[in-house]
Amino acid sequence: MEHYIALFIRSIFIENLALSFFLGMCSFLAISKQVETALGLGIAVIIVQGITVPANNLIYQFILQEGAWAWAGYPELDLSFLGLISYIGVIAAIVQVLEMALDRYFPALYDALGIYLPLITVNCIVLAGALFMVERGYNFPESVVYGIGGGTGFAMAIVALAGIREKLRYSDIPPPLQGLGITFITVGLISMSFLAFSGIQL
Amino acid sequence: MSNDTNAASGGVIAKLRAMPNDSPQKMLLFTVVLCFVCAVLVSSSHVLLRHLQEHNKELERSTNILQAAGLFKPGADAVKLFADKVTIKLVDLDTGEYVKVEDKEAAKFNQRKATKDTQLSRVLTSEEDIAGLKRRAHHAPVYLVEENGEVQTIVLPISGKGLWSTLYGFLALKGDGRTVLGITFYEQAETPGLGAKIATRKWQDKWVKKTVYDAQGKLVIEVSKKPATPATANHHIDAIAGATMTSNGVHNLVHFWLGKQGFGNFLTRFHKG
Amino acid sequence: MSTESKSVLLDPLIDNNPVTYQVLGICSALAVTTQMDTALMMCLGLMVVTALSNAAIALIRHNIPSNVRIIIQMTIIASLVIIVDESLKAFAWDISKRLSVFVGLIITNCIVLGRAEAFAMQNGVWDSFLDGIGNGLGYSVVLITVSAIRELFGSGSILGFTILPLVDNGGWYVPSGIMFMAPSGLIIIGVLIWVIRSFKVKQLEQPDYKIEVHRFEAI
Repeated sequence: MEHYIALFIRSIFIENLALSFFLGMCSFLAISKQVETALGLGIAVIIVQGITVPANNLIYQFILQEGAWAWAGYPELDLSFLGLISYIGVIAAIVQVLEMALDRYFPALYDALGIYLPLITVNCIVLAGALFMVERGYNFPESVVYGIGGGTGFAMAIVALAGIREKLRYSDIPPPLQGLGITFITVGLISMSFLAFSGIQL
Repeated sequence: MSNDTNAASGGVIAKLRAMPNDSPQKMLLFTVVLCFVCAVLVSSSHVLLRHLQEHNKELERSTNILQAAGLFKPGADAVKLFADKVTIKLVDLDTGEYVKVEDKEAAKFNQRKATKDTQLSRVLTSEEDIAGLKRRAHHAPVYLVEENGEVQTIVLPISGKGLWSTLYGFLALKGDGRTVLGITFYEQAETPGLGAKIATRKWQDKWVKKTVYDAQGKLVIEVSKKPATPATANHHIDAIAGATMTSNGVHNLVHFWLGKQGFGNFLTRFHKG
Repeated sequence: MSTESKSVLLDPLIDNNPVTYQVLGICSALAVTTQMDTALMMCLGLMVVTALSNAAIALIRHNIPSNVRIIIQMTIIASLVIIVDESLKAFAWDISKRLSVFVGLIITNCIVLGRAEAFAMQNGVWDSFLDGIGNGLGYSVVLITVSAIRELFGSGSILGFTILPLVDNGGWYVPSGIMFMAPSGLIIIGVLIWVIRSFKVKQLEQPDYKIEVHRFEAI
């Protein structure tokens, strides 16, 4: 249990996907003008990450990994070069299914998430979650924890940024720095403060 | 790219083009054709380039082992040099004996894969596991350079957790099993500019000629922030400033692999002689 | 080359830069900019993928069923990225190891899909190809600038050649560790945007609230 808690904390703070790996930056910058919408996207990312990372873990373990086809008489078969295309396919499919399922059973949540759900397919965070999971050799329960932790880290970061940007609107910023420029610098400073977590060994 | 398909299956394409874009048949056919084209492209690139990729991997491993052993000359064909000079043997880590297998089998042994295999490895208890490896394979390869039937150099594969990543490298000892000839790290993802210095020649050169075991066979080598004293100078390596966790990681992994759980049992045979 | 093709190619360099103006493709870019050689390789990879995927999608644009459009674009892009990844592993092993998962992340680089959707679906093969190259170049301009600054001040060299001799090697320059860390990349891009927008007034964003100068301050 301790191991999973450590992994969870690490994926949120120490290896925060947005602030230490620069992932998901496009939506991170584009959809952080208001706390409310940022929260919507954050929740959507947690849900999608929590489902796709474990799903891709199963695909990797039982289909792509070298030796996965040993039971069928192909112990040497190594399909891991097909990884990228399978993961993105799985992500796109799951996002689509999730969208339909939410629309049917939880219309309130569906309305709240709005366009953010389909946008997540092209959010690098989701694919990166799958790639890091494979590179670090997580097993199934670890991948569940990592998926949810990674999503939570992103959600937290984007809500924090949105909070700051709401206040920034009232500041006197040099015109060329207005908007995008000052946002980049703000993210840089937040990310610098996250460096403080990097020495923590769990 | 769809030019190829045109040539290969002109009939299907012509039919496809005639269909309205949103009819279900077209959607299905279109996706199938596209998947087929992409699958052929991706698979053929993989098959065509696999040979080169494997060569790269082997070249890298050979170069690193030779570098650790101090045998590498820039410009030389590392793979050939490796084949000429180095013999690969498999060691049972618990007993310290060589495993009796063909040399070819030993060369094929994949330590990382074996570490994941529950049959070929065991779980380390948290006291044993100072290098953060979780599991350890029963067997490990060693790379020996022999001259006139005597072992001149022993190269050991080492690995362990640094700050961010698992470090993989080689440690080369002289035939006496006590003196370091060299160390390399070929895989690491430590903080660039700080922890990643373990991969630089400059830091690795500090290891050369250091003693790992003292006369009583005690493991004395240390990577430490404390300055060296005359008493410790021959087994002390300065930690990298600003990269305490990485330096500790290297210290721990060297201690693990030279200790009882690692090659400790195997190396005692060289101490006697 | 016609003027139109030329503008398709050159526009994305500064005026319509994908990174600093369109806010696309920042994700996978910043992590590879600590050294110039990895940044250059990444640019090359992205340019190849964007140009070829644009061309391929433009070629079949009239026949793509619209409701599976995105997934078809993704399939084409993903296949190209795998081919690039495999080639890097075969011909530039060292660099591909340092780029690790970031080559794979070209798939979700918004520039590629963004250009496929916004340009290649409406334009011819050649123009789309040029647009891909142009956007790849625009991305490269930013990446190369950022990586040059980071490598120069972080390790005192450019493309591995020493410019500022380091204290470690007997020189005088104490390298700045922050250049290796994530924040410096963001701050450098922020400043880069500041510089570009000081010259390109058209790119300025209007503030939500105007700060009025207080009367007695003005006097």
